[in-house]
Amino acid sequence: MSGEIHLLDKTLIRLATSIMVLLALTACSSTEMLVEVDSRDYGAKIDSYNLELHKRSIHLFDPVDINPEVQYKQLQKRVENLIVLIDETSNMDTDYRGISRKTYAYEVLRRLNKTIPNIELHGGVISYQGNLVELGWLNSVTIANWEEQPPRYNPFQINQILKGSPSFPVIHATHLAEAIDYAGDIITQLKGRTALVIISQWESIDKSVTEAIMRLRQRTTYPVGDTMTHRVTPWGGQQGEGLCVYSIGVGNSMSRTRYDLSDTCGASYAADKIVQPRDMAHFVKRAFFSQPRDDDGDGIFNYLDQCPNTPNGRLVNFNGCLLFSTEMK
Amino acid sequence: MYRLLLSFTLFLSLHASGQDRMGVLLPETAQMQQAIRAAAKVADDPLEPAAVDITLPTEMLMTSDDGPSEIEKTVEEDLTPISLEEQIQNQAVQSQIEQFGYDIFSSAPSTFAPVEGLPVPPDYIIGPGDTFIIKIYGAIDVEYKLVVTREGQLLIPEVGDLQLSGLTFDEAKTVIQEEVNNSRVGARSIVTLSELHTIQILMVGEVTRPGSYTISGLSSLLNTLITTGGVKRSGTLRDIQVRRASQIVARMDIYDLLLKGFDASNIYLRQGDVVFVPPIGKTIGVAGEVKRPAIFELKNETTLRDVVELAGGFLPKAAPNKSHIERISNAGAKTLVNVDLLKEKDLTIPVQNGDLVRVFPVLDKMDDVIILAGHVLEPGGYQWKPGMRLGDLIKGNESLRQSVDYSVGMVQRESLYKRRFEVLYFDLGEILANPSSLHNLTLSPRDQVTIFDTSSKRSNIVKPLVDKFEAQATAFKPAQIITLAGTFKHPGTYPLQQGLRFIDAITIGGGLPANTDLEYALLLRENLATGHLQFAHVNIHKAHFEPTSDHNPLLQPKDKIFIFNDVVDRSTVIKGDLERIKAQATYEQPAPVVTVAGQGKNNGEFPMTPGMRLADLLTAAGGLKEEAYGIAASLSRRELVNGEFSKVDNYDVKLSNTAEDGFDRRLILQPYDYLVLREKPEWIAKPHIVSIEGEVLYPGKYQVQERETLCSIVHRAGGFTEDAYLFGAVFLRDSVRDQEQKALNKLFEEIDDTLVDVHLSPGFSKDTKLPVTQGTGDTYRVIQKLQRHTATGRMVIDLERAVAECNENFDIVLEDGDRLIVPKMQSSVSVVGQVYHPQSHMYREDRAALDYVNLSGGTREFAQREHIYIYQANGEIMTIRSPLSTWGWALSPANVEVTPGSTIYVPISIDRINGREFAQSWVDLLFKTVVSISSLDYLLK
Repeated sequence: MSGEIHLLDKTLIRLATSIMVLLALTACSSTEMLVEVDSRDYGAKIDSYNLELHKRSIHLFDPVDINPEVQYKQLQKRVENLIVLIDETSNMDTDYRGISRKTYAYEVLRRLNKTIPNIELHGGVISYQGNLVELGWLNSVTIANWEEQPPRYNPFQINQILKGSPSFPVIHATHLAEAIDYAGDIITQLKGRTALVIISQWESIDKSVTEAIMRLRQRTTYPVGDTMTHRVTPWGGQQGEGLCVYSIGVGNSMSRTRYDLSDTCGASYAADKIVQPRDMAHFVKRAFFSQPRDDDGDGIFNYLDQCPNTPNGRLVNFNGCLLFSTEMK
Repeated sequence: MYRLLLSFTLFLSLHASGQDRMGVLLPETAQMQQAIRAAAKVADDPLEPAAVDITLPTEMLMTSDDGPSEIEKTVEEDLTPISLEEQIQNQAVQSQIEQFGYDIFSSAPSTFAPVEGLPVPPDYIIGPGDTFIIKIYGAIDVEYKLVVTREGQLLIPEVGDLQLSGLTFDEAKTVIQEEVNNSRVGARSIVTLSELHTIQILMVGEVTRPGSYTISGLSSLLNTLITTGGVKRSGTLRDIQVRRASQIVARMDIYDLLLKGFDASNIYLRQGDVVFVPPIGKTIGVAGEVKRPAIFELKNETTLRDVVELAGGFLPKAAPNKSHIERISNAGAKTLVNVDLLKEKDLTIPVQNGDLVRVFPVLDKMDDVIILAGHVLEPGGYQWKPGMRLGDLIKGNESLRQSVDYSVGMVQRESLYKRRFEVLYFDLGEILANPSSLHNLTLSPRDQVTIFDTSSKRSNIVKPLVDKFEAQATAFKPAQIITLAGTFKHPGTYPLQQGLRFIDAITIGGGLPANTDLEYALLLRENLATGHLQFAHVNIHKAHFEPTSDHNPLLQPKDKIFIFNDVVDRSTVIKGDLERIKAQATYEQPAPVVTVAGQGKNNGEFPMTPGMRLADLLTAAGGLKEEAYGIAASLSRRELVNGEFSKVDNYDVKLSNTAEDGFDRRLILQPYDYLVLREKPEWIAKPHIVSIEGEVLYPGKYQVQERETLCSIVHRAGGFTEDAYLFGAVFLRDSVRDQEQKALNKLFEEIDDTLVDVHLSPGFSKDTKLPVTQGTGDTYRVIQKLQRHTATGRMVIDLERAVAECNENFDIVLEDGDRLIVPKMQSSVSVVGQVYHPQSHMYREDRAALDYVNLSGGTREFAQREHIYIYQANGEIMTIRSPLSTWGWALSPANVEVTPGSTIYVPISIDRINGREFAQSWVDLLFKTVVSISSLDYLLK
């Protein structure tokens, strides 16, 4: 009897041991189960890198004041006229980054306006809407208005425009290329060099736009009838006619170059890349100003020139003074 | 026979135990042992070799220590130059002097060989061990050889004992003769000494090997000193004492002997004498231009005069009036006393222990002399005369050697008061042509005139002078040197002459080489106050024609001039200095560096010189390359928004230089501007030539434009003739050939691998296994034959539709090197390969492939009937593979159309070649190539 009990005990012990072992194993496995790794698709998204955009709000704008720099460096005006062509077609009704594209486009315009320093520019804002297609009528009316007196572009007017003032011209065109053709009618009548800023839906800047810009360039640069040759619009000069086209596309965060011809002045930007204060400042500086003044022509800008009246043809140092002045002749 | 060996020998107890003690046996020691053995043989020698207990100092076995003593070391330190003047004269003063007199001990006698036959001096004191030879004659005739006993007695047979010890030799002689005469009537005697006794002495004090010595009884003090190794350098030479029975019997001054020849105190030593050498006394060193430069020990000498006398007086070259005494003052510091050793007063200056007197030579210089050096026939010194000019020195071409550089020569002048150097450059040609010109400089004494030649490396010639200039530079007076770099004939560093201008420096550098870029030279100037470097752009052309313009500036010390030519890579030449410029960039001042990339003749980084414009950058780049796009370029500029945020702007700039468009060329550059010069659109570096041969109206080589087609070129060639066989036209293209060749090479590689496999692997089955040699040998032969062929690059085209119809779908855009060969109409079809009679047949429309094969006798036994190739006239190859080995069925190869000019190839059965099934595929491929190539041969020849 005692032997049986003994046997039973042994069996029990074995059973208990095996249960414990099993439990331990289970515990192990369950521990392993607890370690979970987030599933990742390992596909890098543009936004994963674009941290800065998240940090910088598109709803707040604290413009960089470039007036001091313009005055200190005596930057020269690159253009006399500014025409802003703004897209108001139904393409712009969709939302982008939580706001409608149209709002976004006007926000870009507002920021441009805030950043442009106190200089005199002629021109104005033209919007194009695709819902009405009566081209002939619009064409004549628009041009007639602009022929008499090209409006002076000033911040006040722009603000009015932004508030919905009916006073700025509207072109009815279904496509951007078309709109550019019409805007060209106005631009060709302006005196001096012109910057054309196009704010539109990103997708609508396509090959036809490039061609429209080239047509426009031909009209602005050469007399009627001249053959189009491979020419460049000088960007640094004060004199002469010329056109620089800048396109700002709403709806794309990273791409920069959609329209960037190698031999022409102008560039294209994604709106996201231009709305931030210092980006906008850079754009304004680049689009509206060329180099600082150098009155004595010694190659040293006035703001660096400590000897402002260097005789022509003399070698100077970085301070604009005679390089070998101390020696005896 | 007795030998006198023993008596003159130092006895040393060198028994077996002694040998154990000393591991090394010097020759001297060995000789001594021999002597001892010889001595032992003397049977009747009354004396055993004296067992003198000498403990040999270990130094004895070593060679004597020749290293400088402490005194010498101290003096040597003093002799290192301390002043500049001394440095100049240093080569004239010994860097090391020795203690005087000790070298007489350095030449120890090479042997201890006895001095035989030396007459015994009359005052020689007889002692135990002396051997007398007494010859008695007269009444009897007898000869004795007798030794004085230890008691000092001489035992003469039949005479008796005589006490001789202590007597002089003369006295002893008398005593013996008298005694002999007395004891023997009528007998007369002759007495001589044959072997002398030995004495033991003790050498103590500052001797090299102190200890007890057994020496010949006939040894003098000096002799003993020399043979026992002498006096240490720490011991005196002037008061060597000999003590005998506690009395000083002699004091020796070796200087008396060495300097005057007095040897009065050189006494003979006696038994038991103690030689004592006291430590050295006061010493004084005399170096330089004296007859005996050495360190002397002082005894009675107290003044400089005595010292000079010790040193033997001055040499002829000496300048005693400028002597120095280096002295250790009472305070313990070294001082320098200037003395005039020609003055009576100074000669009486007392000397002190440790003084070092230095007598300098007269300066090795000549005052009234001009030195002419360099490329002249007679270089060397010339006499200077007042008013002498360069033209007087250089008479004309007769004094110059071939290929002398007439444009520049150099005078090195030493300023008389400050001993500073300056240089003056002159125009040699001008002097010769016009003696009254300013270049004909008036010479000063000690001028050195250097004439250069055109070829040898000039910077090496001026190097010593440049080194001098660098050595005399100070913080406020920079080294008066300039550096010429770049493509100068003689680049390098040169001395700067006051008032030298840019153009002059070019002359110094050998003039302007022929292809120098006159528009672009650089002057790198260091702001001597701040060390700030700056490049300036100098126009050599302007510098040359307007010598007073800014482009010909006065040079200042440490200027560096770069000139360039068309060939040199400019950015590499200036790279090092540009890096220095970059390194000095600060927050306020970015590094003035601009870059050209693309199609400039010289691309790379260039310094942004002040006021630099785009045109200047183009000049720096040496202009545009031929293929550069001359209308516009792309300029990238680093822009700082608000001075802090870096952005890059890209601008397109016009390069044209017309009045209305020139604005961009005058664009002022900013640091880090990056100009990309583009290549001309669709630039044609090399004309594209296409050759048309055969049946066209005007065959030949035509140049084609971009994207010109076959159609247009054939029309330019006048179209086809009536005989043209368009279907059989061959179109060859290089790029296709290269591609084919590549494929072919790869194929050969694979075949080689297969060959290896064939050799290695066993047969497909045991039955089909062939001897290795048979199959592989054949395969190898096939491959050998194949390798002779190269790819042709034939493209199969449809010439008819491409040209005759100008159908764009079939037309080809031509490339450089294309060849079109239009053959004549052919009316034959060839059959080659494994047929009984390979030959050509008349083409007939109603014949098919099999018909031609059958007309050639049919296939042979080994033919691969399943794989007959038809090589069509247009280049297409049709591989006819039939699963059946029979022909004539519908869709069988018999019905394949054959075109005129085609070739039918009946290959040999693969199995017959090597019996390997797997090899079939590659052989198939190979045959295609073979057929293709062989069929073209007739056209390409």
